[in-house]
Amino acid sequence: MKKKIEFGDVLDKVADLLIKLLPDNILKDETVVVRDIYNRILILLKFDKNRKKEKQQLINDIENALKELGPYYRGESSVLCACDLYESDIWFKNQDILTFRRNDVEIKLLERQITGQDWLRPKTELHTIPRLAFYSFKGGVGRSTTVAAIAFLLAQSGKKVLVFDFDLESPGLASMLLPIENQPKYGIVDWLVEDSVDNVENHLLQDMAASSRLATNMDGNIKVIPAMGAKTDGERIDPCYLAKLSRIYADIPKQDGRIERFSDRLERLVIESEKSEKPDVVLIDCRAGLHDLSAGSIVRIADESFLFIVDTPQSWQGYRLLFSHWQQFPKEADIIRRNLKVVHALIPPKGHREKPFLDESYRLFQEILYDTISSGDTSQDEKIFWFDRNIEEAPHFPIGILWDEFLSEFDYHKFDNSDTQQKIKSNYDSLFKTVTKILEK
Amino acid sequence: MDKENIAILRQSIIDSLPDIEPGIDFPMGRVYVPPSHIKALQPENTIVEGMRGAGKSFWTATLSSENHRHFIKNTFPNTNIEAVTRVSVGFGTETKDNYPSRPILESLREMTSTESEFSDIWRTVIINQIRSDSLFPKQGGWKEKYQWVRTNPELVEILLRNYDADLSNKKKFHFILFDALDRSALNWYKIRPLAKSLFQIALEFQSYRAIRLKLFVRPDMLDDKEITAFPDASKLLARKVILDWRKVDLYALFFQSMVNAKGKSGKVFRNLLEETIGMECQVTEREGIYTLPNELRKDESMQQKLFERIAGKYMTMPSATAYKRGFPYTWLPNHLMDCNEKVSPRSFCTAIRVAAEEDIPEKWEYPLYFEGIQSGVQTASKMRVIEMKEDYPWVEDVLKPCQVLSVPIEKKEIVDLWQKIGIVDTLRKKEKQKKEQKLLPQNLDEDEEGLLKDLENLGMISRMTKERIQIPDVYRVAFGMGRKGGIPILNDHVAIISMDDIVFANG
Amino acid sequence: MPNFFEASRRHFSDAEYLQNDNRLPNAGQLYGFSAECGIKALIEKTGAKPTKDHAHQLVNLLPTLQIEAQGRLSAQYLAKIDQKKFNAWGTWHTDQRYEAEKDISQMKDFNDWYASAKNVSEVLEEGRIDGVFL
Repeated sequence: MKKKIEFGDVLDKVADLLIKLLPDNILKDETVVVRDIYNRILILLKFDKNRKKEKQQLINDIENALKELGPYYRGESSVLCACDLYESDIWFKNQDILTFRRNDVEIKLLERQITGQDWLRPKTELHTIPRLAFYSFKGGVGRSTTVAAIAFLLAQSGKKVLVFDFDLESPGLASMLLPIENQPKYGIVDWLVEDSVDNVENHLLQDMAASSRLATNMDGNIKVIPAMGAKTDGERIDPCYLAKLSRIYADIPKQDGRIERFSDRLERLVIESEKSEKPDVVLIDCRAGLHDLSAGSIVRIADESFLFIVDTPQSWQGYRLLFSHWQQFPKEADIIRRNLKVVHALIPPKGHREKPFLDESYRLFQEILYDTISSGDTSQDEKIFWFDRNIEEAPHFPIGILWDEFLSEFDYHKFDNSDTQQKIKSNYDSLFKTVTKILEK
Repeated sequence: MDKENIAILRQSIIDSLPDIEPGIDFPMGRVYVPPSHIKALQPENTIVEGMRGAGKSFWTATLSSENHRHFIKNTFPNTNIEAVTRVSVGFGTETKDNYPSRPILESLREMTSTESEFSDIWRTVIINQIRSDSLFPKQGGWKEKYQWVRTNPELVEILLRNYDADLSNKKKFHFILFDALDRSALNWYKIRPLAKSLFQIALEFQSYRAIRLKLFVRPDMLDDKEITAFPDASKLLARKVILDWRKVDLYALFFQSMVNAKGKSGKVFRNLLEETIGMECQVTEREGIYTLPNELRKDESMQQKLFERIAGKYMTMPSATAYKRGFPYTWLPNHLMDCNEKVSPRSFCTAIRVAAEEDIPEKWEYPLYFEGIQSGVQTASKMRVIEMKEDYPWVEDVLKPCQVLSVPIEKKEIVDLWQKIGIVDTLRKKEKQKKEQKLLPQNLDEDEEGLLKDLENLGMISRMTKERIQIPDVYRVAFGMGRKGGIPILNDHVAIISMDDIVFANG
Repeated sequence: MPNFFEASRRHFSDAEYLQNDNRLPNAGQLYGFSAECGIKALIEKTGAKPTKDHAHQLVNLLPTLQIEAQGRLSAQYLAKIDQKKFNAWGTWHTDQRYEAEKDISQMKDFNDWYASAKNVSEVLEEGRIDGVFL
């Protein structure tokens, strides 16, 4: 009995049959595989009318072969040529086209899924203000506290810091850096909602950023842009927050006919805030888990992303998941993997497994994201991405953050104390040194 | 930095770090005593452990030179060697009259059967080195001397005691140094009793006040259970001192060599140092040697600042993402490290010297170019592997076939490979043949697991979780192994060497 | 049996043909039908049943879609229809088929009609690629 075909098998199967049926040059230059929103496969061929006629037999063969995909077979329109489409360029030159690899053959793939695409759309443009993202797969690992601490240390060293709380689904960073009465009236979610109807007024951005008093006596400063605006008196929450939250993720059509992705809008928010505040460095507190919010931050917006890992099986497994996703798309993975750095979070004060953590972190990166180079090749080509275990600048080599009781349940009032501030300096020393090196020109 | 100074410093580096043997002619400016070595030189410390290149032979030769002792005593007074008047070598790498060569030891060995008789060999050596008028035959070969010692145990003791008391009254020390014990015989079975008995003698001689034995040994010798299996061995070994070269020590050695370069180049570097860290070097009165300010010997960030002036900030052209390629100050030692995270000063200096010999591009504003540093590391790695092969020829037999593997290696992969080519049997045959009279793996009796143990002890491999074996770049590159990852590189034109291509020397 | 998707495409295709030959009045009519069928194709996908009446006030079709579009999927496609461009249909009417060329005073809006029809057809094409329409 034939093995039932499952989601995970589909791309491989399609690749195999295309490799078999299509000549190399057509497969490489004139073919795009589309996975539609129902997970079915559509093959696009860049043929004009004449070519289509010429290659009709080939097209029939492909259509026939696709039947093997069972539930993932589209039926009648499984193969479309450029001449069948109004604007073929939109599809053949689509910015979301990824490179899928099967047996050393590269095939263009277009995924028409509704969310999650931002995990594979790496940044393409240069900008001048360094942006650092802080991400964790699981929550509760001290990520937001770290962002607050690093902002503090940077301001102390004279830097102008702009901090974004992108953890929209569980906002919290603002309350670490600002006392409750100082939290801004508007937040990121407000901006996203107004922006979707082109209703952003000039003052909105300024009303979203508040200065942290922690930096009062310092050369630098800290500006915080929270997730949620503090509207009501008393508890300072926004009763409409949930309603707004459900509306912000849709793609928005623009005047010129383009569709703006969610992560593009986030990026635009960051760019406009940078213009308004002119910081020396931008810190982004990401949302935990596999959500578009984090995807956009890590993959597209940030220059460097710190991945918080705690030494638990779920943590390792979560990153394996994410990395394995990237692994399937080598071209995109190549860009993304160069911007990652591991942070070993919540190291217990005594008896922590330093060497095993390094081994495990090494295994995570080496097995999935580092290059494979066959025997005998001793080249030092800068493009090659492989590191020995003990190399400090490698992404897998962890920066440690010690756990300390005083860091749990952190808030502004705890922060505003010189003992705490001393402890912060020593706990975050290693990470701060790394951040400083990144900022040096 | 202007072009002239760049050229001066480049030449200076080449001139200051030549690969020369230690001895009385060794430039004093290059004698740097890292903190861990200070203890090693102190009279009360008997066992000094050091890996290949850590300085065992260096100190043996340097301590033997009176001028150098004087310099050390003045510049590194904590070594407490002021009172050392005599230094002689009880066994070492050179051919001397002071001690029997390996073949002679072999013949003496053949005359012995019990353990105490082995100890007598060493007593003979020691007695031969203390000045005394006595019945001890001055002429004659070692055999005669050995016979005399065997037959006159009380006289031996009296001679030693008198000599010791005499020196002690004059508040002086006589160091007797032992080095290169792994060359005392051609295989472990023969080395072991010699080494063990020497250790026992060392323990015994701790009761003397003026005669001070110092044994420079490799870590694998101290790990050998058979050698250290004697009563109270722990007393001896617990006080061992390890010759360690930390990153800061290596750079201190480099900087000290540079500040003492002859003529103008020394001055250029001294100026650079002052300019960069705001401190000056001291000069020794007698020898006129410059020494580094204390902070520069210990402070990593200060050293990094100075090294940046010579090698630039990044291991690549400056750009917004340059930091990702690493910084020369850390890159250099990291890529020379073995699995015990140790770098030998010789490797370190070689890498820098070779880097200074490489061309630099027109626009580069420092004496050292990052690509030069990479070349330097490659050359130093090759040299290190050659050293390894010289000391432990079996390493080549064991690792060369692993060319077909990629790092990290699964334990099963490498064990299967070794079993397939029958390397354990091949090595055992060599042992029996006695034709190839070189050292074999210590733990050969544990088969493939033993080979892994031995490689680990040599710092060539390290075991990671889940039975994975890591081989650091310094060795991986030399043996031509591949790199394992998750993303295959396309258009990889390098031919994969198959098992069949490998020819084994002894079939 | 109405097949709004295919109908929309053939109207658009023919309209282009006429437009290229500078026969703008009929091209304009057909673009309108193309847009109508296109929106109805989308309404159908929301699960609602488009009725015949809608064509008389083409411009009101879009609000109908907006009301019907509840799910994430339909909202997504709805979002891609350019509302501003669609308002151009305010000057289009099926009764224009009765008039002489020189009397169709709203022909000045032809370009806007074309722009909207194009937008709708692009959205439909996207739906086709996505597998919503086959």
